[in-house]
Amino acid sequence: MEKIAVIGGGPAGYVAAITAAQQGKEVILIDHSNLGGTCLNKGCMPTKALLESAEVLEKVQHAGEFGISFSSVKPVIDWGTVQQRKNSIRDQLVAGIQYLMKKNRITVIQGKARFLTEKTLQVLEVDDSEKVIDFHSCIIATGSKPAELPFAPFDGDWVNDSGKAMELDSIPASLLIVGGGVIGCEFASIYSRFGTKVTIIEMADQLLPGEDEDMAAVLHDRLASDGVEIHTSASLKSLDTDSRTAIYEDAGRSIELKADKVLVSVGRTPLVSGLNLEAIGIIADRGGIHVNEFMQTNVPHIYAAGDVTGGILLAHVAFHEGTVAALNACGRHKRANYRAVPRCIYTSPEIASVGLTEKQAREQYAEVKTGEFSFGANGKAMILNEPSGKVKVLIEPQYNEVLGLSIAGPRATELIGQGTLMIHGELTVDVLEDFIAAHPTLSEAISEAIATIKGQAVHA
Amino acid sequence: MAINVVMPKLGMAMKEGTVSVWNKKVGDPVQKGELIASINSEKIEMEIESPGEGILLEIAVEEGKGVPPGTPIAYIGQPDEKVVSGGAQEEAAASIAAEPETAAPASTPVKESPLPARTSAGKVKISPVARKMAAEANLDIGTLSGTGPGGRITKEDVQTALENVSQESMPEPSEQKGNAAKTSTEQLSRPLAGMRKVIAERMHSSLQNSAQLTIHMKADITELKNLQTQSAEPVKRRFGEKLTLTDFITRAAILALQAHPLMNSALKNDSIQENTNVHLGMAVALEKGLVVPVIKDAGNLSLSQLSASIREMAKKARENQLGSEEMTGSTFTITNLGQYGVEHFTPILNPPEAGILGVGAAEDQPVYRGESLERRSILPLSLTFDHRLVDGAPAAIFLREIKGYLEEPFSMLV
Repeated sequence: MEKIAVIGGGPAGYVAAITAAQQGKEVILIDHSNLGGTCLNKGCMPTKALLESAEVLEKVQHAGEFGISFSSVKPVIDWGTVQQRKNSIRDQLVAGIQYLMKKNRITVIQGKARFLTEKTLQVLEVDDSEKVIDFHSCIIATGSKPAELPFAPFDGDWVNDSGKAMELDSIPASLLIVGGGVIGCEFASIYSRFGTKVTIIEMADQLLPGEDEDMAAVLHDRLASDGVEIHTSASLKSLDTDSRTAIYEDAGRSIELKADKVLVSVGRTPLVSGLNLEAIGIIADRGGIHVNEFMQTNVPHIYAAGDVTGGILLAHVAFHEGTVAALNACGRHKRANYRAVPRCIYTSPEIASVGLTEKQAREQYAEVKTGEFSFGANGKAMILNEPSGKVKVLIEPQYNEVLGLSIAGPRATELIGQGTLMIHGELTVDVLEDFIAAHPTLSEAISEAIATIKGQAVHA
Repeated sequence: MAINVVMPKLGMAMKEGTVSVWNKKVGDPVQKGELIASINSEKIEMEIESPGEGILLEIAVEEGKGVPPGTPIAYIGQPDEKVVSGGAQEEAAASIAAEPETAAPASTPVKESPLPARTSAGKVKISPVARKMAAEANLDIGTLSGTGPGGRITKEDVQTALENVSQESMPEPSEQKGNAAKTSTEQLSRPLAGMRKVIAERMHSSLQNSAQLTIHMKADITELKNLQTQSAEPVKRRFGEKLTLTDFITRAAILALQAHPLMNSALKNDSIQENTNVHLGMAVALEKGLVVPVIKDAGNLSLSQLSASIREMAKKARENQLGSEEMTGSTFTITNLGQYGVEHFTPILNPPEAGILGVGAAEDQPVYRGESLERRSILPLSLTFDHRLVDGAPAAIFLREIKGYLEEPFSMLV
C-alpha cells in the first residue's frame, strides 16, 4: 500500500491525513505536541471559550435591561473556572481528533520530523528515541507561530504571545496589545469585558487592516465605548521589562505607558525551520513553503498545506488546503479554490466578511454598487439588545454578481454563511429577487441590504 | 452504493430515447466520465458518460430498445455489490459528453463542439453569473466544459472561453479570398475566369454541399418608414447622414442573430462552429459581379456606426478599393434585390455560413387592419438556411424576429 506521511496534526494536517486514509492509503501523522494544532490548542477554540465567558458576563451585567434583576448581587468572575472550562473544551476536541485518527487507522507518532532524503523522514520521538520513516508522498503541515518583535522577544511573563495571553494566572489590571488585527481585537474584546484596562497600538490607520473600514469603525466605536484606548497610526518604540513600561509614538508624540501585561499580536510566521528542507531542495522563505495551486512544492511528491504555506492563515483555509493536498497526493488533480473564504472576527459585536472588501472591489471593477442595512432597524437585533452594526453588500452592475458581503453585528460569524453561499455559488442579485427571509431573524438584514441596491428596501 | 445511470432528457420534447450502442459489457470496469454508450432520440445521437467509477453491474436497457427519459439504463458499482432496483440507488443522470476528446485548437476563432452538445444546452449546470456572462457574449453554454462541482460551469470557465476567443485573431481568410483577384475580363473568348470563376465555383459548391432551402415572410414597415422620415433631419444634423432602410434591416438582422447564435454558425468537418461575433457580409452588385464586403463585429456597432460602416463598405466596393481582408470572415450575409423590383427570391448561401437574408422591394399595399383597409408598406423577406444546421421552425422563428424588429422599430433602438 502506498504510504503517505503527514507532518503536523493541526487543521491542515489531520484533515489531510483523514482524506488520504479515506482514499485507501497508509497514513502516518507526526506531531510533536497535541493533535489539533494552534486552532484547537492555542487559537480559535480556546479564545472562543474565553469570549463566551465574557459574553455571559456581559449578558448578566445587562440582565436588568431585560427585566431580570439580581437585586444587589454583583456577578463575580471565577477565573479558575473560566480557564478550566476553556481547557476542558480543548481536551474534548483533542480527544475527538485522536478518535478520528484511530477510526481512520492513521498511525500517530509524537515527535519532531526532519527530512533525511526525498523519500525518508527522521523522527525524534518525545522519549528521545529515533525512527526513520519512508514514504511515497509527504504533506507538510507544520503551521505557524506568533511573530516576535525583534527588540522585545516573548518572555512568557510580561511580553506574551496569544497562546500565553489566554492562560494568564489572573485577569490583568491593564493590558497593552501591540497590533490591532484580528487576534489583538479579539483579546481586547475578551479582557476589556473582564474589567482589564486595555490599550491597543496599531500601525495602520484603522483596526483590522484590510477589512472594510465601515466594519472596523463599528468595532472601534464599541471598543472605545467599553473603555479600550485605541491608537491607530501609532508605533511601538520600546518595551522595558524592568519598569514594565512601553514607549510608543502617536501623532509625532512619544508616549510612555505602564501595563501589567503585554500581548504582541503582529502576525504569524510559518514554521519551516527544523524540517531540513534545504537538504532535499524544497523552496521556502519567510513567507513559507512555496506551493502551486495543487498545494505541491517544487519536489513533486511533497505537498504543503495550511499556515506553513503562508497565504491566508485561517483554519478553514487549512482544512481546504489539507484536503486538496491529500487528494493530489493520492493521484487526483484538484486545485485549491479561494474564491469564497469567510473571514470571522469574534469580537463584540462580531465582524465577518466574505469576498471583496469595498476598497478591493472598487480597484477591480469600474463600477460597484453597495447596499447597506443597519441592525438598528432590525427587530431581532433589538430584541437581542444588540442593535449596533450593519450589513453591507457589494455588487457589480454588469451581471449583478455579488462581490462581497461584510457584516458587523450580532451573530455576524454565523450570518456570513449566507454570503459565502452567494459567492461560492456565483449568485447574482436577480437570483435573490423574491427571496424570502424568515421573520423575525437577523438574516432579514442581509435581504434588506440587497434590496436597497435596487431601492426596494422596505424597512430602511 | 450502486450508481443508477438513467436515460437523459435531451430537450423538452423528448419522449423516448434508445440506446444505440453499449461501449461496455457487464463486468467491465468504467471510469468516471468514460463514454459508456451512445443513445439516440429521433434525430439526435449522442454519447453518454459514466457518472461514476466502478464496475458495470447491470445493463437494464438493451441496444435498440426505447425507454422514456429518467428510466435507469445501467447500474455501476463495486464488484460485490447487489443491484437493488429503485429507491436505494444513488440516482445520477448520465452526463452528456459535452466536449470532443481533444479540445478545440486555440487558434480557431470559433468554439467547436460536436453536434449533440447543442441539444443539451437546456440542462447545462452553470452558475448564475456564468450564465449571464455567456449570454451577453453570445457564447453557447452547451459548448463549454465546467470545472466546478459536478462539472458545473463557473465564471472562470466562461472567462477562459472568452479569452480564448478574444486572443484569437480575426477569422482566417476563407474561400472568399479569391474575390479580389485580378480582373481579366478583356478577352474575346470570355473564358470563365477571375471573379466570375470564383463566384461560379462558390455558388455551385454551395448548392452541392449543403441542404439549403428558402422561407419567405412579409414585414409591415410602415412604422419603420415613419421613423426613418421623422428621424431623418435630427439624425442628419447629429451624424451627418440620415439612416437608410438598409441600415435598419441590417440592424434587425444583427439583433436577431445575437439572439439565435445557431443562425450565425458554420458546419465544418462534422462540427458546428458557432461564431461568437456577428461579422456581417453585405452583398454589393458591381458591373463585374458580386462582392461581399464584411462589417466586422457588427454586433458592437451602434445604429449610426453601422450606417457609417455600410456606407463606407459600399463606397469602397464601388471604387474597387476593398482589401481582401475586408471581404473575408463573414458569418451571415444580407443581399438586397429590392431596387430591381424583385419581391421574394431564393438567395444562395455564402459558404460556410448557415443563413442568408434576401431583401425584396417594399411596396404599398392595401392591408386589412382589424376591419379597415389601410395603405401599408410591405417588405418581402427571404431567408435561405442550411437545414443540416437549422431546422425549419427555428429558422422561421429567426425570420419572425427580424420581422418583429422591423414592425416595431423602436425595439431596435433600445
